[in-house]
Amino acid sequence: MSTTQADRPPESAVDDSPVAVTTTRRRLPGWLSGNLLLLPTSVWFFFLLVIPTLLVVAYSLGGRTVASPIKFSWGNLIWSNYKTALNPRFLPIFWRSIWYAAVSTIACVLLGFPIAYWIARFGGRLRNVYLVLVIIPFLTSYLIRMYAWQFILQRDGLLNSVLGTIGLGRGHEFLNTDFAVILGLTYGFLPFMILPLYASIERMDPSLVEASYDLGHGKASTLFRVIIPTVAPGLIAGILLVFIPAVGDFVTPELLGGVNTQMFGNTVYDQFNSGNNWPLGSAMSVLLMVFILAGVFVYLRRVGEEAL
Amino acid sequence: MSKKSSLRPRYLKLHAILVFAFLFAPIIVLVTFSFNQAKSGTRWTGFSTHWYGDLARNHLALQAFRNTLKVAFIATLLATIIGTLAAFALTRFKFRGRSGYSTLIFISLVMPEIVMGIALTAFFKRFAHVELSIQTVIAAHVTFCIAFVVVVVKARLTAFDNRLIEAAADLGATPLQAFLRVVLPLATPGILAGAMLAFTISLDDVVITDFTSGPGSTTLPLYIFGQLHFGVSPSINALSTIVLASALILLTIGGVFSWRAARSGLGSVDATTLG
Amino acid sequence: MSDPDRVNLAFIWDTTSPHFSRRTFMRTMAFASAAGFAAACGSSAKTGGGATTTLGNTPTTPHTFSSAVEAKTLNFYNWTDYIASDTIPNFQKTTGIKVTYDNYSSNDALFAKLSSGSTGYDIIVPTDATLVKMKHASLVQPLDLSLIPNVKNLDPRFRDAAYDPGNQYSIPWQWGTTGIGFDKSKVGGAVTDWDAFELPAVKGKSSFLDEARDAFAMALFALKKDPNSTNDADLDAAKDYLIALKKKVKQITSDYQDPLKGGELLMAQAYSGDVFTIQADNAKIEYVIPTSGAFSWVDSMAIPKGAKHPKNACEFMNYILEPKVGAALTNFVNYGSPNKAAEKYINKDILDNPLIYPPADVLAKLPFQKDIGDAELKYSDRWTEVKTA
Repeated sequence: MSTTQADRPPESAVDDSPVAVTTTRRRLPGWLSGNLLLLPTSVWFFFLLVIPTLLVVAYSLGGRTVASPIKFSWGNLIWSNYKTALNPRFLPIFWRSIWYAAVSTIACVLLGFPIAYWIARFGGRLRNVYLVLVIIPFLTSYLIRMYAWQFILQRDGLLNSVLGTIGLGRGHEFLNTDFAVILGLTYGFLPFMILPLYASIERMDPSLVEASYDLGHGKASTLFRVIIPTVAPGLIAGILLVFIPAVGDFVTPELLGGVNTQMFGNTVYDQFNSGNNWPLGSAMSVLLMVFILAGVFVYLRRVGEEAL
Repeated sequence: MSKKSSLRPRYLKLHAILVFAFLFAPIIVLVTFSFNQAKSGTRWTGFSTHWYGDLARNHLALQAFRNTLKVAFIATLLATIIGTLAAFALTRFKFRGRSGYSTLIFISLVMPEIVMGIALTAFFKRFAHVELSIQTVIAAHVTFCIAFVVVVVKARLTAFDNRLIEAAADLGATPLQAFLRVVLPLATPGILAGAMLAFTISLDDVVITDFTSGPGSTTLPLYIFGQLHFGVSPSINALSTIVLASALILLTIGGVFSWRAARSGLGSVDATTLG
Repeated sequence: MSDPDRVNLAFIWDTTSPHFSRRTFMRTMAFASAAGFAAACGSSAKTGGGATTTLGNTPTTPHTFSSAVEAKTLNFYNWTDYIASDTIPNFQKTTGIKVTYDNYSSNDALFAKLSSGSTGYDIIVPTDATLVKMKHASLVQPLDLSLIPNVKNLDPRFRDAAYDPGNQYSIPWQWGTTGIGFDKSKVGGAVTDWDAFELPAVKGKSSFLDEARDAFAMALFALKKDPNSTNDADLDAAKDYLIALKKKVKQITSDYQDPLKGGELLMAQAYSGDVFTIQADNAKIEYVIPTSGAFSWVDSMAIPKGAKHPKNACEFMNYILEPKVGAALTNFVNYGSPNKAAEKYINKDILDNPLIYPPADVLAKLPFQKDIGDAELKYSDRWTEVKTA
């Protein structure tokens, strides 16, 4: 790797991103090569993502009866589902989802960045071993890991006995609280932060850091001026991969949460189950998707990524 | 790697150890309880290995485990190939509709699981008229895995130096050779990272699998989800322990091997391809 | 690399399924893209319409199946941990029919899955209220009772029940009640009725079920109203009751069993047999049928529309109704058996347990959920309000 990086002027590591596209000597014009490479994705997404998404949009304009949770007809598009979905009663749940996801994402950055950096820069020959070690806990089923967390967090669980032993008292209620859900989300999504960060830190030229030190920059200054800008694409990818799925998460609050930790994903889930209201659940999903997509694109504009 | 050991701050290592402790905390719990005597995930009643024998007789769990592996391996392979090609195209070429792809990728990330599960099932049954089976589960898994691969690989390829390819072309490499010898090795860490993520999310999925599975295609997470009612049987802990142990053994072997290979100078892909 | 998508698609679909070749797939794909979105909505609307459409199945005359010979397989979709260990092996041995056995864990999920398209299963075991919904939605098909002579073994209470008169669609599997499970050693005061959730000892340490009708029934019983009420004022009162109760409980969940056993929950609205199963591990857990009344429920075997092996399904139902088979089932899962003829083989401690086989005067206060038609939506909407409050 180091050979490559040495050939490259340091600035190019900073994300001047996909705009710098040159294909002068290619036999195929760029748009054609691009489309050929995208063909499998296009076909796959058209059938298994575009059509299902359109179905969801159609559902969101349907009606329902007790016998059929969804009844769609072109002649009778029911827009009021969106009005119901925008009912202020769902707002606190929506903000709670955003809040949980945001806190978890921040926790993932704080936990994930240093370890990714350490593995990439100082892991030496065992880098891949450490990386796989990050993933190994995730080879067991998510449910069973959350089940183990229940044991750790419950009233007479491991955490309480540790706290009791060091004199901080037992019997704290950890399970079924905000804390438990955020912890579960952080735990569950941490590799989604570490791996992309690793992939981009690993590409960074270590001489950049040394140069920064040589030029008299301190540690903080080096971190913010050299390291973070260089690994920005990985950081952005990590933030997206943690935050977006976390907002819509359903299983974690279901297993670690309580009465007051319902997330948006649970509310949507309920509409397809006990709530018996597919149109409302679909309308909520569409709104969620629009909201998050808008947020993501604004975010990407601001951090300078053109698209994605 | 680094010659100046002063650049290896100790706190980074300490931090790494703490994060590994966090990652492995529940793992230690579940391994411990695989040796618990009683069928309880919450109280220690004494050492026993009988859950391992129990597991050997639990055909439903073993079948579910086989299904899970099959789905995860195939879905990861397909998603990695498709996703890598897409990431490459999205990074290298500028063309109309690129942001459309980004939108689709984010849609697949953000769509609540149950919505995707129901929409995919409706698609399979009403459009494609396929029976729900393990194939439909795999197809669904590929769909939500692609996005993870694309995002990670793309992060790796961003700011990729196109002059390398031009240099390769100048030296007489065909585009295919340039791709295989230059681009692919550079992208490899990203592809591996993306594949690992895809593999883990495929292993974990419950809701979408629940909807898209048919008779006989129960996966391990589905099986466990059903078991949550009465508490997960410690034989599932035993199964997880076996998986973890196998992975750790493979990792150790791999670690030793790559250590040796690196020492004898054969290891680094970059060195051979670019040096 | 030449045409990877085709390879992939072929790989996914062009497999052992006899109904599928890549050609059919491509054709449907072509249809899909040509007819496009409109067709999609059309078809979903039609199937959504329910009652009159048959989802492209050959319409079956009620009560008899086509004479076609079925493959010797049966796809059985049942609740988790809800079968004796020898039930299926013995069936396979005597009939030579190979059973594929999968599990689900909620009525709602089962209903949602069936609604989004048929599942390939031949037998499902919905609870009475869900069965009624499925009948309305034409998701299940009538049985051929001539293939199930053992239906005579059923307790009369299950021969002509409101949820399925004359067993046209279903054969009951097991039945029970929805009451209260609690840890006797830790709950101070007497637990006799639904108001036990107000006991200070269980504050923040109890749960109620994540099922709209069950939760509302609890509130309606506690408020001395009709548990099947469709009256808006009653339901609003019940909703307020539940929202107030929500502040005093720890969880709204149907997965209360393990926490109750382990002590994380001290009290839970619970299904009878679940609590008896917990008792085997933790003798301090008790079950009570609240004095102001509770719902009875019955899980019944039914055949989803579009099932490929309806005759095998009937054969299986008939097998379950054999006295010894039914008794073995009950002895294993600790619920009540709807099978009168099986009672002589059922363990005495189960038969004598008034919580499993309640005396007549208690039974009178244990109605089944009624089919309340579209009023079900009143429950659903208020339930969403409770959960999001």
